[in-house]
Amino acid sequence: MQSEAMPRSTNTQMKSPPSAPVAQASRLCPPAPASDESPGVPGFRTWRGIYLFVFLCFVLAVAFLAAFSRWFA
Amino acid sequence: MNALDWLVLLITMVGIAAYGAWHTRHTDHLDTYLKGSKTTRWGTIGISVMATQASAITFLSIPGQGFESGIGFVQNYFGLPLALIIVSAVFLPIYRRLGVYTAYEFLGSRFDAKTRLLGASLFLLQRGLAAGVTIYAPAIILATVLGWRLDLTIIGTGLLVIVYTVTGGSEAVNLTQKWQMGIIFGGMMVAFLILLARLPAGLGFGGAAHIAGAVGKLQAVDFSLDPDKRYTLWTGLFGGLFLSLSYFGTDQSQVQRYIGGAALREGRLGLMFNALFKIPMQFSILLLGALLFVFYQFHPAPVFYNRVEWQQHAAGSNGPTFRALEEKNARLHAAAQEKIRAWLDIRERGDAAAEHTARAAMLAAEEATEAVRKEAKAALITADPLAKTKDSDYVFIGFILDQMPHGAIGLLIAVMIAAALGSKAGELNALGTTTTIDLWRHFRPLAAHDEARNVHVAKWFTAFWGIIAIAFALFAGFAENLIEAINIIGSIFYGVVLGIFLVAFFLKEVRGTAVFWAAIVGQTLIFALYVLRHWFPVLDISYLWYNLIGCVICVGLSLMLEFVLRHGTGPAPAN
Repeated sequence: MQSEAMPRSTNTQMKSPPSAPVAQASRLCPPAPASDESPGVPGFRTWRGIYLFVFLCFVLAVAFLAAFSRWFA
Repeated sequence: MNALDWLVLLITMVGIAAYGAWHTRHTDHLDTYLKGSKTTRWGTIGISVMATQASAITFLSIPGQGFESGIGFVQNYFGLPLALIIVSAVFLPIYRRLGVYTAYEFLGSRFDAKTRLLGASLFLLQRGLAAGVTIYAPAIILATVLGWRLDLTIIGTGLLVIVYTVTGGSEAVNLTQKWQMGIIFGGMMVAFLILLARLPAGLGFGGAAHIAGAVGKLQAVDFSLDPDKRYTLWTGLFGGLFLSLSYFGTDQSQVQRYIGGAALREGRLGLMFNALFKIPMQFSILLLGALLFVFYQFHPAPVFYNRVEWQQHAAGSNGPTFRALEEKNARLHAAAQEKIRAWLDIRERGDAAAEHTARAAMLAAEEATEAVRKEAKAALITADPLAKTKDSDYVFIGFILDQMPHGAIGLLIAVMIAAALGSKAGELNALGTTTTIDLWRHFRPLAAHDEARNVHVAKWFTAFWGIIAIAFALFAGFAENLIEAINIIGSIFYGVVLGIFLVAFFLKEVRGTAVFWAAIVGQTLIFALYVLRHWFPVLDISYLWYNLIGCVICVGLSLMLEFVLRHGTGPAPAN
């Protein structure tokens, strides 16, 4: 299990009051495109690929459940 | 429970709580206290998101739901993977980029202070109410079956979670939830294996599943369009999508779990972990309940599974009626078992016509045993109009106490308490954070610069909400079906809150005043819909639809009000 025994955050800089860090929020609509950061998952180069994979797994799960219901009905 | 069970229970529960508190006792940076360690990886985030959602009710009530109504409840989770994809792609990157502590900070910036306060207040109201249920639910069941004092059970579990959540904040919550989920997965696996081992020789999983399926317990997907049906593919997909989107995207108890971490990637992968594994997990728990139904076809089954409640009334003046019902149940149960065995034998021979007849006989016998259970519930109500007649929550815990070996009993009780502590900790952490960031700092902006004071105040608010939850659990009465009670409370509020956030994210032309009043009107209408269903049956719809209706009202009214405000009063100042 991953250890959580990490040193305390070195970020001792106090965050600004809530209004400051979100000052640019009103310019965020419509939402900014998803980050182009690589997911870092073997076999996937984009987040879009991961979402597609998760969606297909969901469809398969529903299909499995429907088949399971029929098989044991 | 014997000494071994107590040892297992105390070592796991107190040990994890003490470890969490000790390990995070020096958490004095606000970022770490509210968002967790900056090095948290996706596995921890994924487990934490799962643990916060899976309360003790999940492991007490859901097997009972599978036992009584079958596994159709799994459809409730069909909207969840889709919602998590949306949260991961749209909500999370913005929360991360803004560096907010709470989801409602975003509303303050996007709209105005009153909308932020409204969002935070709706969260505090509904989560504060649910927090009482989260702590009460396992306590009432464990206290009833184990003979513990209800008040001491509530206070004991409540104080345990307060200690480590106040001490280490989000970091302690993440840390303890990992270990608690380990106990939960291990314990449920043991329960499943013991259940399979206790089925009649030669029956196996396949035979048991065929029996459960034949009596309609394995109908996982229902394509019906009937709006009165509570769980269908459509209520799951649409109502469930809105419920999950609101819960994961706007409920601080979840947002807080994934906005921290080492990078955006970690939060996203943590959410995708849940998108992949939540449905299989819920399916497994429901299947366990359906298999419990089969188990009790071959073992002595009580006429009413909350045996303590039953025996209390059986000892009174209605004793002869209760004993007659017990005898009738035993007789019908034996007859039903014979019919099941006959059906299995014929099915094995492959005689289709005889199998059809035997199946009909088995179903008729099953209906007869179900009828006597209804008679038993009616007898309870006759004896005491306030008697609790919902006994499905007691099926699994009864199985644990009757059938599990010592040691495993302690482990399974630890599963229930671990789940209660894990979800409770996430809730308290979020309630304390929202109160500190969205209320206290809003009204005391100068104090926001004093980090030590912020952490101190966050600790006090966390403790405050813990005590409120304990008090609420001690003095309030709750709906009998506890998991539905939580979902109903959530659904009443979630739709409108989600509407506010969807407007914030996607409708840039709508400003604060329009969305604020749209939310007020929308929430009032949902309350009215919920209350008026008692007098107008046409309004009695599945509670999952409240999510969709509340959201649509809020978004639609926001657009209309914005149109009226723009054209009625001329250009309004920018937010």
